[in-house]
Amino acid sequence: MNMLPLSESGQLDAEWLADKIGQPVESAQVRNMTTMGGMAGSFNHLDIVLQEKSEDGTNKKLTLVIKTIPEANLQTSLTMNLWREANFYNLLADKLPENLVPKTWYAEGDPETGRKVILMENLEHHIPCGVFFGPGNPNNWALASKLDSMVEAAGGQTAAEVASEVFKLHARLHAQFWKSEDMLKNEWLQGAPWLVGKGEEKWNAQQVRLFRFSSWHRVNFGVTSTHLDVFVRVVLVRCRQ
Amino acid sequence: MIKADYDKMLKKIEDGESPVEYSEHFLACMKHSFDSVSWKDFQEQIHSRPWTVVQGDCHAGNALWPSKPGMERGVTLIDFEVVGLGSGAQELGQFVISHMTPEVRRANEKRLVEEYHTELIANLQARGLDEEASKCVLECNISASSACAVPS
Repeated sequence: MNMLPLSESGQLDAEWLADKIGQPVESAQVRNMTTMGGMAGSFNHLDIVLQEKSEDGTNKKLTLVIKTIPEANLQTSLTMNLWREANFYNLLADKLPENLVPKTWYAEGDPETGRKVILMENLEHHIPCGVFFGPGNPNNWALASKLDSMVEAAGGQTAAEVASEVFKLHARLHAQFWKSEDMLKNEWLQGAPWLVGKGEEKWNAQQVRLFRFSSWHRVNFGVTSTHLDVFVRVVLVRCRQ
Repeated sequence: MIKADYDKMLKKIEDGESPVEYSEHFLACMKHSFDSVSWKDFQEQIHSRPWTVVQGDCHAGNALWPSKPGMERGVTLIDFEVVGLGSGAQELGQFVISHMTPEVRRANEKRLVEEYHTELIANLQARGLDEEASKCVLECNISASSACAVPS
């Protein structure tokens, strides 16, 4: 988290943070290091004590989420331009219907280093929609024993009902920028240069990168510990052992 | 480029050095796919379909659902690390194949695409893009990944 003025004990500089969130800050502590956060990012909670007082005389509190790229994943971020997420929140998110994406207080991405920091809304009381789709997906393997109770607590929706709601959100996202010529100027958006006929070399390089990243390639070259799903074994392959 | 990588892997498979023995049909499908990768074809494809801003990694893990009924904050899309310009229909296809069982997909894909189409049209019209909305024709004969809003 080199873009953040952070002490070794996880205290974030109050003055810096106050400038970003537009409120006087007493203190701010980072907690709950996790490995979640997309392809290369990580999430941490940020517990903020504001200078503003509540009616009972205590300081008001606010919890946000900090999304960053760990040092070990900076090369991945650079290769895949994952820092672009900050641009999305800075330049496009406010054009979307309210609450379609998390609210952000601050976002910064650095195309030179791959670093990124996003201060965003804390949605820890939400669950990934993937849990409604059962234990088959690898993302759910670690949650297998909890899936039924999580779904029941959320209201017992079916996978199809959840998919329906998510499809509608994507429809709103897609409609907002439908064939928008302005978007073609945003070269940081993946695919924008390709749509104007630029970037053939990078496109070819990306095909190779995706191929080498694929499970098929990794299994054949022994660079993964992936165990093939039984369904895949039956339908596509016959294992030697 | 990618063909060289693919040929190297194919040789490994043919030499019996792969940990897996693939069916001939599967290998033929993959060979056809890799032989078809070309910038020229890609350019023709992307200009033959409508494009828009897409989330880019559209699977069910990248949307959040309220953990309890009645929460003020509803369903939310997250993770825009690979946001870009592309096919909206294609990203719905990723959503479907990444999490749904084939049974659930078969039973629901037509309805899901119809609902997406209705929502898309309504939002385009709300933006005053009636002409664009009128060009979006619903095709859902095969699967969600090959269907959706395409120009007439």
